[in-house]
Amino acid sequence: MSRLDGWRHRVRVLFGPGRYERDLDEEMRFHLDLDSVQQRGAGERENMSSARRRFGSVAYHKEETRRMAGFDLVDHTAQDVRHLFRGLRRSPAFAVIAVLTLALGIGLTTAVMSIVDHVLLHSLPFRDADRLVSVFERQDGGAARAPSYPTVQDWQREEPLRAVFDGVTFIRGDAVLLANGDSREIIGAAYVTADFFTIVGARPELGRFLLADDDAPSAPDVAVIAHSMWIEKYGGDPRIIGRRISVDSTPLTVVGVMPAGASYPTFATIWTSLSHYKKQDQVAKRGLHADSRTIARLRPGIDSARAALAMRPIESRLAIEYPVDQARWTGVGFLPLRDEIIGNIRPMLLTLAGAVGVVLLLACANVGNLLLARASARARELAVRSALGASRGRIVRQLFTESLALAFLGGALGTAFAIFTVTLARKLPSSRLPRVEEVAVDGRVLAIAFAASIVTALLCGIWPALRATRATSGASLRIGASGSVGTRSESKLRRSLVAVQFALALMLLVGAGLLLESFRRVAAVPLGFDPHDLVTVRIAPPMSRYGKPEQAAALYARLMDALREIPGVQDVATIQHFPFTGSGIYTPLKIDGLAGQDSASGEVFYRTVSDTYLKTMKMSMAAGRWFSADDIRTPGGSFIVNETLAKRYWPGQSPIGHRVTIHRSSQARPDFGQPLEGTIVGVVADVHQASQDVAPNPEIFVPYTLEPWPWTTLVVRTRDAARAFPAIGRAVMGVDPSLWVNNDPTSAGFRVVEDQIAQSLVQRRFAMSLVGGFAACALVLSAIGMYGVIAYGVEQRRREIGVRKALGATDGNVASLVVGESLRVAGVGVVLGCFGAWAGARLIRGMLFDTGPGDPAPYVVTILVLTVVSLLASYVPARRASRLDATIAIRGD
Amino acid sequence: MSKSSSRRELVPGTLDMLVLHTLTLGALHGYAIAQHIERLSEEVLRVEQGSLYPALERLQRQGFVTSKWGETPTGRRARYYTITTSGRKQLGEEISEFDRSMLAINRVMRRA
Repeated sequence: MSRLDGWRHRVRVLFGPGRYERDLDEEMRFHLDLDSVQQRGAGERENMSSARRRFGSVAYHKEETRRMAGFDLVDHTAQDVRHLFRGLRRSPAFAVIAVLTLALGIGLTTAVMSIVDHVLLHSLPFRDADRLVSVFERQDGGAARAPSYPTVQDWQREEPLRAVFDGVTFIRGDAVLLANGDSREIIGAAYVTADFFTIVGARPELGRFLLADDDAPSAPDVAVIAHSMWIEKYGGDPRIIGRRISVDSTPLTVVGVMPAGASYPTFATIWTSLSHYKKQDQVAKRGLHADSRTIARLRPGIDSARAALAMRPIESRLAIEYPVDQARWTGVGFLPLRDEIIGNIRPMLLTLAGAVGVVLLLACANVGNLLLARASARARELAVRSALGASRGRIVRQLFTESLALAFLGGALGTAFAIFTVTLARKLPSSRLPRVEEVAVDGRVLAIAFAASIVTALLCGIWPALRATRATSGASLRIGASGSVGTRSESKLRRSLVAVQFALALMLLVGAGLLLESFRRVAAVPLGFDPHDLVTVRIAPPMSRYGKPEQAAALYARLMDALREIPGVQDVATIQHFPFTGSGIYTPLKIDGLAGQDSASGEVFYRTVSDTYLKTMKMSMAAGRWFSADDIRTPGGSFIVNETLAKRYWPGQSPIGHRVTIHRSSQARPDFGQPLEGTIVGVVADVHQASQDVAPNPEIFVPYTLEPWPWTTLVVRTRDAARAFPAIGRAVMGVDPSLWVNNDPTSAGFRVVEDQIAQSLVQRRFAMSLVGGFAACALVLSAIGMYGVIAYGVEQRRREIGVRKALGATDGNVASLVVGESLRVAGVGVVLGCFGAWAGARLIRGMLFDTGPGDPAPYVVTILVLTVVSLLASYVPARRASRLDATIAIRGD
Repeated sequence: MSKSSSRRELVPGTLDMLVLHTLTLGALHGYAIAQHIERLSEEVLRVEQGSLYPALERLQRQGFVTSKWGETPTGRRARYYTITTSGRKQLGEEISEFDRSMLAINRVMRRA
């Protein structure tokens, strides 16, 4: 029973705290009244004071009783929370700013770090992804190429290699036409053998992968499809298994779905058996070193250096056996699969992670500052409570609860913010951020950001409470009267925090400035052609009807004529590999009379073009002439090179008139590798091929009729590029309906050239705008911090300012005193920040173009901006200080 | 909070016992409890009357005492405290514990 009585009492206290307080007041008043009536003193007042003497301090006993009542943690916490809301209601601006700052810090950090962690650090959905490598053959010169299928088969037969590899497999890639009902679409297909799936070590999302039986030539055609294709085209319907789809007019049965994120090679949306590939003759060629990947799984404990060593004798033997293809290609290189999939996005992600870390630090500094300021403002309240008998622990606990609540509110909001940001980021095209579609908020990152903000809140919330309660109560009351406890060291700490904020903001601003400058300079690099109003269409004619070179050449001529008929079209040209598409093919280059000056393989781009290409692209000639219509009609003998090639092989001279030998380069043709001799008749001005921040490669141009490519790109200069697609599609299908062109401008076949160039800058723009956004946040946070400290400083020095004014200081003197203070703090921050920014800029050098950590411009601009910000932040306090009335200020409150 | 030297401070921990003992008389309000303790001890054991309230709070939480608002004979609202069964048991234990200590102290003092 007794225990129940006790609990009943506790529950009453907990749920009726207001009533409890009122009851206690009433009870004590009753006691005093009764006692004073019992006194037989002179008068009512004396009786009451005698009763009070006997009772002792009402406030003390009340606090003691409360302490008894709140013996339970739950009771205390409830009380603290009540105090908290009362306190926060009194200063909502403080609460809102603190919570928003924390939310921003936690949210941004979590979102960005989750993305970085996912894209960069997380394993691929492959078993032991660290052991997966992509394999290349290397030449002594350093050039790299994909091994041919026969070479890979040789490797697979080698007993010694089993000691270093758990498996090696060859993947052939091709663009295929997927017919799905009425819609037809070009997709990426990977032709693989069954061991591909065991080597990557993924588990099917649905159904099964290819098995060894499926590799038998007589086995039915089956395919595994990508997760994205299953979701987008088939709505994630599990009945996809067993469904028949048509690929390049061959019916295939879907047997499985790849798990999300396991698309390798990244272009593939469908995997099917290599033994059923139609272009078997190509794959079987020892000379084929394109459109394929070879991957291997290293045995546990074997690194790529060991594996390369084990392969050397085998490669040397192959070089002797197959001198034509393998001589000089005696080295092997390995690239971790992760690096191949993620590519060069690493510097960008690390830059973002660094920048967001700086924002988190800044947010913490800002909240710390706010809490310190608030504690100072409340010093008097705390001193009074302490004097009235509230224990030190009690006060510290209350502030602890308050800081913790702020940190949690901020954290909750930050989590929501992070989820929102990550959801937005997931919608980014994966060309900007590979594998971004699978990003989720990372629990560990969230926990770290949360912890950082809680530690800050606690340190900055409790420290002043300890200080305030340490002072003897009388002294703090007196000091408290002037509104400041522990002022010296505390305002010093606060000023240092603001200086740190300025330093961090400067780092971000300088970083953003350098990225902006790099972006500006990259975007300003001349392309060498005019992308405005230019569109391209890729044509892949069926091999059955256009397989012969002359058939393809005739088709391309007809297509160009047909497109020229379209109203608004100014020029039409053809080239096999258009710039800014990431594709191209190399040719060896031999220069007559210059022995030993042959190009390294993998250096000179081979382009097959029409005579109209120069005019359509609006390129210009540096020397000599471009192809004439005659060159196209009777090809041979005349080649054109770009400036980079001319400068590399004929430095300071003209290449015109020199004879060179190159190779036929279409691996799909039987005459692949056949030498082509000719004379250089012109030098064309350079065109950027990959992106504006990569220097152009040497290029050699030949008439498209000399080696009609099995497929081509039509280049059309027209008015209103985006609207030209339907007409172009109709014209192409008018020539031959089997050339089916989707009217959708977003489909793979169509490209607006300007979009493509913008796409090449997209990562740079992305990093720049994010860091810029972070820098803007940093600026706002530091401005708030500066304002807080300066305004508080003025409040603290009211009396001093009053004395100064009484002694004859003008309004201007006073204002400059305040502004000077703010500039001093900013100055310290700027000096610190310059070092930090310089060090930070060195870390992101990989992201910079044509500028560096020592570029003074961003520093100068940033310092100016920060000066203006600190002036603005001190303007209001300075005005308030200069308007102080001396007599009132001296008298105090 | 300092106490004058003419007053004797309570032996620590005995206030609860005195309160419980007082309540064996019946339901009393705080002031009556304070008066009773002072009168019985002939004003030797004087405590600050206010310190009675934290003690009452403590006893209630332990379930030795319950309270209820009622009316005084003069018609004022007052909180009346009652000892519970377990409070009586506790009182018995405390008294015997106290007796044991007093006995020990007496023995020590006589021998000195």
